[in-house]
Amino acid sequence: MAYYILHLVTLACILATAVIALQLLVSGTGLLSVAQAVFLGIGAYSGALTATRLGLDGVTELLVAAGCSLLVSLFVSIPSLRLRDDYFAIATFGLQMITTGVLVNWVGVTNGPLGISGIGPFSLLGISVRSPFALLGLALLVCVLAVAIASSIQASRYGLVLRAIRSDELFAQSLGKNTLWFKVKIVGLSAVLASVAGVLYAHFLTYIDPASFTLMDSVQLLSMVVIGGGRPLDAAAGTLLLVLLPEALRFLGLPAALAANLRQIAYGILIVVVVAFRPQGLFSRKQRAT
Amino acid sequence: MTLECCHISKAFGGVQALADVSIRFPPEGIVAVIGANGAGKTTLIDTVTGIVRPDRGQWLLDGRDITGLSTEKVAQTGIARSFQGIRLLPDETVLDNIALAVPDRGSETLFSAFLHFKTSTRRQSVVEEANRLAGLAGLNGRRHDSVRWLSYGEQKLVSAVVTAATGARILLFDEPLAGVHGDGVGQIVSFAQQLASNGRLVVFIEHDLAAVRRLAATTVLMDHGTVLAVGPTAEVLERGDLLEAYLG
Repeated sequence: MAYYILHLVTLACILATAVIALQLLVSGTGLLSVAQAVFLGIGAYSGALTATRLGLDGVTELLVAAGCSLLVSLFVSIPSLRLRDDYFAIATFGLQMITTGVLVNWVGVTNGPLGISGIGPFSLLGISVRSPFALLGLALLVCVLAVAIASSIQASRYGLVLRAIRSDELFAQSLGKNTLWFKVKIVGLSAVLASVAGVLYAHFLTYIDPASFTLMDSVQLLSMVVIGGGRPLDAAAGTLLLVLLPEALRFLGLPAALAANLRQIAYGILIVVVVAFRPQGLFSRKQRAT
Repeated sequence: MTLECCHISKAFGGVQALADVSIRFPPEGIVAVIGANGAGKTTLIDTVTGIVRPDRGQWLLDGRDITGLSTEKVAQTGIARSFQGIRLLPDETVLDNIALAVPDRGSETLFSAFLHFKTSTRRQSVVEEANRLAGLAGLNGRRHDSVRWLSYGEQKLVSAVVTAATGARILLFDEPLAGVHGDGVGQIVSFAQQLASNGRLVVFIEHDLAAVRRLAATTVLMDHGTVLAVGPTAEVLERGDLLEAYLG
């Protein structure tokens, strides 16, 4: 039981990092993305391939993951962010579909639907993270780092400009802010953060396949932001809640077929209830009057 | 800095919003742009600030062609504008709205967001400038209130302060007094006068002729997308034949 809970908390920490990264876009800048699982996936595959095929250590894994995700993010953000906000959401949808296609079909590199198995423990500078406790510690550290980065951006002048973009982009432009560049950079940072979470995710699962990084997963990460709220810790709390909720339903002793459906229904209801009654998120105190 | 437009035309569908408009603005002082609704006043400002691209003609700043530059590029060349409807960040404080406009490119890098945890919105030089402007406008008591909780007149005043905070030498105000009553008018007027006395060019669109008479040294009268008259305010306002076009 203790290991079971340990497992869930570690999972929550890893996902929370990707969710906080997504929150920088969604609540921070007003950019809706349904492709956060893509960047989690790029990190996971970069890490897994670098480790299993090339036998390189964690630092290289992180660098490869960050580089690949940054490149992909630029590929999507620069063209789509020139247009109005909605087009970014559509572009991320396209990216999500393409990525799933590539992961499934590019068998030579990704091993297709079979995925990559036998991913060993994460090792950083010669120290191998073997025990579940150590992995939890690492995941928690990364998550805390993500909270710190996101909070400091929120408090910074950069964050203020992002909020200006969210609220009224033309207003920000009329004050001489190059809003395209502000958006491109935050999308890049979000992608890199998510890919770091992805590297840990691969080592945590020890086996990854395309089914872990689908549109449903992206939507799930997005719902964690919506349900959590506007501050980084709210998003982390939202993640923990949505990781634990389906597990709690498991203890109801329902038949497996029913339980899976019930989980979807519970998700849907939760999102509707939050959007209707607490649009600022379950854990955010600030009431937005709009 | 001298601003002029040469032969600017713009049509929206079949409506000729601007037809061959040429104006040479004085290097400093206050200029009023008057005219009936639909005369093309706002469109004129939109064409210089990159929001509307003119069909023909040029905007020249110190002889340099700035036509077709993006909104942020125009702002960076030192031409700032306010909008007819209020455009501010309602959930941020008055001071943060002003500070946002104060140019400080150094603290706007993503990297500096990591370095100056909790401090970079409040960089000393920016805060001092924002405070100075808030004081100049008589907004001292409201600096730390969210813009949302300000009266309409106060929000209009904050809009003007934010526009000025960009440090631009040329300020274009689109109906800064519309919907403002009582003391609010006086506050905005005196703020505009202080800006102009510092060697800036303040151009404002206005319907209230009393305010125009009080503020503007030069007046541009527009009608149906053309300039009917440009000159010293007293002279333009005395030409009854032209004003008929304005008053209908």
